[in-house]
Amino acid sequence: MELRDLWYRVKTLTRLKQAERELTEEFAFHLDMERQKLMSQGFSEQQADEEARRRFGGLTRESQRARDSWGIGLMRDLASDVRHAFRQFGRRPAFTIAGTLTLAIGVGATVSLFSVVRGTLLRPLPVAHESELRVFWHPYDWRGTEYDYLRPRTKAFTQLAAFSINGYALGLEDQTVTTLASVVTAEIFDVLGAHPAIGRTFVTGDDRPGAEPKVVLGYRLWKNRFGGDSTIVGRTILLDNKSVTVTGVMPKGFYFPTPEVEMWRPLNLDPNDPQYRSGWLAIISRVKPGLSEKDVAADIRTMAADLGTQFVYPAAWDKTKNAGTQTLREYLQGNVRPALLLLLGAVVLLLLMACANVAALVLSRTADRQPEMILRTALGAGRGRLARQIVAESLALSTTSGVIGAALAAVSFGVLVNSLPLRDGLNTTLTLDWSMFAVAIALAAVVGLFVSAAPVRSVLMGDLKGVGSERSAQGLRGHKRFHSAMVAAEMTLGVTLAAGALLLVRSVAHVYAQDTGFDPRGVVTLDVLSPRGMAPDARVAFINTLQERARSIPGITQAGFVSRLPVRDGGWQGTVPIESRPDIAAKDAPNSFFRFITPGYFKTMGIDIVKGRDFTDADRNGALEVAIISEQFAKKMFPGKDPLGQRVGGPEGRWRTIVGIAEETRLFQMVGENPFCMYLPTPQNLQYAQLVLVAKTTGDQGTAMTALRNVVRDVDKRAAVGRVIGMEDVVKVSMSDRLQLRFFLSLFAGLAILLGAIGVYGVVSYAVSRRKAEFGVRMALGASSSRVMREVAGNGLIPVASGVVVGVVASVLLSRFVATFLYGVTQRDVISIGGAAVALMLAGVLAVLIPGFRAGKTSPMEVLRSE
Amino acid sequence: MGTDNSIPYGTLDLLILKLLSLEPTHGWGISEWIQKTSADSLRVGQGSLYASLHRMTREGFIKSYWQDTDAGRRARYYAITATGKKQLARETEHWTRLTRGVGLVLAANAV
Repeated sequence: MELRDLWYRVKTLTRLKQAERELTEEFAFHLDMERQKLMSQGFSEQQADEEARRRFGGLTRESQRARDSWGIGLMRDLASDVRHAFRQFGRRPAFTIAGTLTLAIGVGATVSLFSVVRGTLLRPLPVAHESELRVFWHPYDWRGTEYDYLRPRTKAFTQLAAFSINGYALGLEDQTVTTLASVVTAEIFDVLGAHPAIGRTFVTGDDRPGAEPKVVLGYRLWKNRFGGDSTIVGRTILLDNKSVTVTGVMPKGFYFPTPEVEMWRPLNLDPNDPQYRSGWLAIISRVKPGLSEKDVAADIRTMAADLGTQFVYPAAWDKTKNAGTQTLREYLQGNVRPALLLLLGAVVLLLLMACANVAALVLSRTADRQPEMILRTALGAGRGRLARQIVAESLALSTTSGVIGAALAAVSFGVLVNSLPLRDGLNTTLTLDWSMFAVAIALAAVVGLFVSAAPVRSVLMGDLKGVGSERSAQGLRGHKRFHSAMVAAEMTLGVTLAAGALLLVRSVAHVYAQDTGFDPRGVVTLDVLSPRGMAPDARVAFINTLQERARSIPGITQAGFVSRLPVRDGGWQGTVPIESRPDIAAKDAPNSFFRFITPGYFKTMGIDIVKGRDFTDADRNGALEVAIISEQFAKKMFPGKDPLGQRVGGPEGRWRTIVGIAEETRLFQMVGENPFCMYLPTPQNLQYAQLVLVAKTTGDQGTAMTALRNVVRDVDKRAAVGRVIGMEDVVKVSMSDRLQLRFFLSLFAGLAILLGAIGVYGVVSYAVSRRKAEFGVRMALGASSSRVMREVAGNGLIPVASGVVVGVVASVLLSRFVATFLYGVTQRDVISIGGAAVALMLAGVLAVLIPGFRAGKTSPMEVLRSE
Repeated sequence: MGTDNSIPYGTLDLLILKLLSLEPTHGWGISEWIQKTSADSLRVGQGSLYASLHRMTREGFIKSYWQDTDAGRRARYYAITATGKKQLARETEHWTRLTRGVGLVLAANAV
């Protein structure tokens, strides 16, 4: 390059604005002169204007050509390439919009889900060295006595700590609210390696009888309920109507064991408290530094064996068997992890499909422009320049998609977080990070580069040799092969996604088809925290009044109390000796759940009494202690005998007489083995504090809930209402993993079918448009339109069919990833995988037939004229 | 493409240099002159014209400056440079040789 040339370019670049202005002025002058000349030849002013413009040619095009000759290279070229790209897209709006949107959906969904995965699975837990923290087997099933026994016996762990979850009524100035607390042993914060933001945590002995009542507040509770007042430390707050001293506040972001827990209270490990002997604790500890997993396992085995020498375990919860630990993360995210990874996998498949569509779009655009490119190459345009233009086009398309995708991610993130199976408040810890927008656009740009690889290759390798009517047969064949591969790949991905979705759909249907034993329709439930320390008589009166008042609310036909709700709560369970079966050793006595109910409960829930009688108001405190047992309990433990009148051991260790058998009801899970259940009249055990009010309404559930809330406050304003939820929602929540997976997989499968159909349609109709001339000629020479149609359909359906076949194989291989979420279907369920194959095949056939019909209608005359 | 009065590729530069060697003028003037002196047998596309003018400016064969026309209107004038004159001489000779050769071939009746 000559110096002067370089100087010229630099000068032009530095005074680009002025150069542009001068160019405009120069053209304006030219137009004026032409116009004046034409007017002097007798044109009217308007005619002259139009004619002058016509002669000058497209203003933008001409000025572009003049600018090109400024030779300021890459920068200008790139800008113009991008502008050009957008103009080109404008000419094929349908396909462009389809391409952009599909990529945007793919990118948006991927980024959104990845944000969730990053926030849950990848973000460090708010504890020190989380991988050293282990939760012992049988969480929430350890007794205080076992914990105290194990404490001095561990060798591989630093000190043990125990925790559980408990609800408290927090008394504020104007209201009482329920809060969730973790009750913990004094050393737990040392084990976790967590330090308070203000004040201090607990000290040894805080968890023993006689200690002053204390509480450590969580950051959120401190901010929301106490205005972030740091003088709160040392003062007392009202929990369950008792004054409790605040010793400290934990820092922002700290949570344990789950984010929904708002405060920590010391356990009371009192050997004289009956609770000391009931299983309700989880044990956590930290592995000593430098120990191998083998050392840990050996220590656990020793501890389990030691337990066997000290305690007698029924088979149902034998802690000497299958002893082991989980990391805190496994324990917290055990059920979330597979679901999230599954969805992330699914969304990546969707993204791949979108890529295939965009790749096909870009490739066919290139092929369309082959004549233009050939011409430009002949006129001296460099191959590099042509390749750059292709890259610019796909980048323009993909980054636009990236921006839309980022917007979609922003909008969908909140919905996603709240509808994913992130229980225990995990969703509250998630936020959409702005860096994710950069990721979205970068991801889209990478896709753009990736999809332009094939056409760029065809340009650089010189597929542009053939000119005109041959239309580069070789290049066309290459494109065709690529397009077929794209169609097949999309069908494969589509079948895989659809099969996963169908497996979940069928599983959910099976779960729903379960006989739950109760009728959730129109039933609303309220967790009621009665004021603690109420005298037994007052408590009975409180319960009875509430029940009466609830029944008198218009629209409510039945109401009753139960200690723990079906398909939601676990709760108290224990071994039940049977008086008439001394042959059963204490160790092998059946395990049963205990449910304390009032006489209205069975009627409200629509649970039938199969035999004997329901409880009545006469089953009060001091009367004969009675029980109703579940059908399976009766059948398995009293084979061939009448259980009525027999006596079984109640939870308090006294004999209770069986007066009825209740219809089998799903207890705490919709699926799996259903444990035995023993129902007891609430007034006969007033120690047990849990109360859930259930009421059947014929009217609006929201109205009923509000009315019931008001009634509780009215009856005793020290009582608090906790969760309020419709029973149908309880059922839904209990299967939320499956429901949510079903929802998302169905959504993705729907999108996959749509994307697949768009892809196939695009590719086939493109092939048809390319061969229009050929079809025209052949039809002019006597080929029938059905023959042309058959050929198009045949060509299009081969990759569709092979993609579907591969998809079936892929589904069989990949379905193990959904296996844990399936119920009532095997992971190789023929109906699901076959159904997916049929759905994609149908979509593919439809997408092939539409352009096929169009090909068959090609008018020979029109084609011949246009050539 | 293929219209009968367009200027063969590459010859536009030659025509422009020729005119500018006679007198400096503006773009419109060049296009009018080519059309008139060729008796309307040549029509120059404006895009090619300005592309050519700007390119030759860059190459240093011509230079441009702003000046008022006789009618008092500001316009960009182009004038030939010394390099441009040399280039014109070279191109003219090349053209003459080329057209003579082509003419001879076309005039041949048989081998």
